Amino acid sequence: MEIVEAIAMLASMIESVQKVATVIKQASDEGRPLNVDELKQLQAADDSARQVLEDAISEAEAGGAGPRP
Amino acid sequence: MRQKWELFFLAMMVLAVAGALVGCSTPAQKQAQQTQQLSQAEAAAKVRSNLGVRVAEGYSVVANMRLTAASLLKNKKISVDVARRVQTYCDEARKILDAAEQAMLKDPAGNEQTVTTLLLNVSNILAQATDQVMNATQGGK
Repeated sequence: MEIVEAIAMLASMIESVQKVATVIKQASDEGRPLNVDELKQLQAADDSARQVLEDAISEAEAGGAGPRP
Repeated sequence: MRQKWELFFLAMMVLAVAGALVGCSTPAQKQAQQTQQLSQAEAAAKVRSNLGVRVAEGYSVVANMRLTAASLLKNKKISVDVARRVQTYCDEARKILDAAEQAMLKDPAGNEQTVTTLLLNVSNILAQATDQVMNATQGGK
């Protein structure tokens, strides 16, 4: 289960990095600065990441999780 | 004859002074002005482009910091307390990034220094968040 979760997390991180790279590359190829919508996409990606961490914290609190001794 | 030349030069001087006062310019001056305006616009666009990329990278780093913390927490490598601190650092960094974004969109060239300073603050905050995670994972805190 841990491996599956780790892979899912890694995939999410790669997706996030790819999203930023794609947005920046597209603007660069078109020779223009990033527009407001593109910046909003990046903000939305951070909002999702924030929720992922918040859920992980809630889950850990509910399960009384902490670092292994 | 001499008077005619003097009058001619005087007239030219008056015209030049009047032209300067009312902002008139010769075609060569106009071209020079247009070139300068264009280069200023190009410079502003370049500043805006560079700042945009740096702000975008800032959002990316903050998002990845949160996901990394979530992953470490799920794998019990960090405590809830450390994860919360990372979340708080990231929230603070995000607020500053949003302010940097607004300043950049408002006046890229005029706010270049402000945006750079804000991004430096983001970098410092993220460094502190990284320290928290590093200490927790290495020291088992």
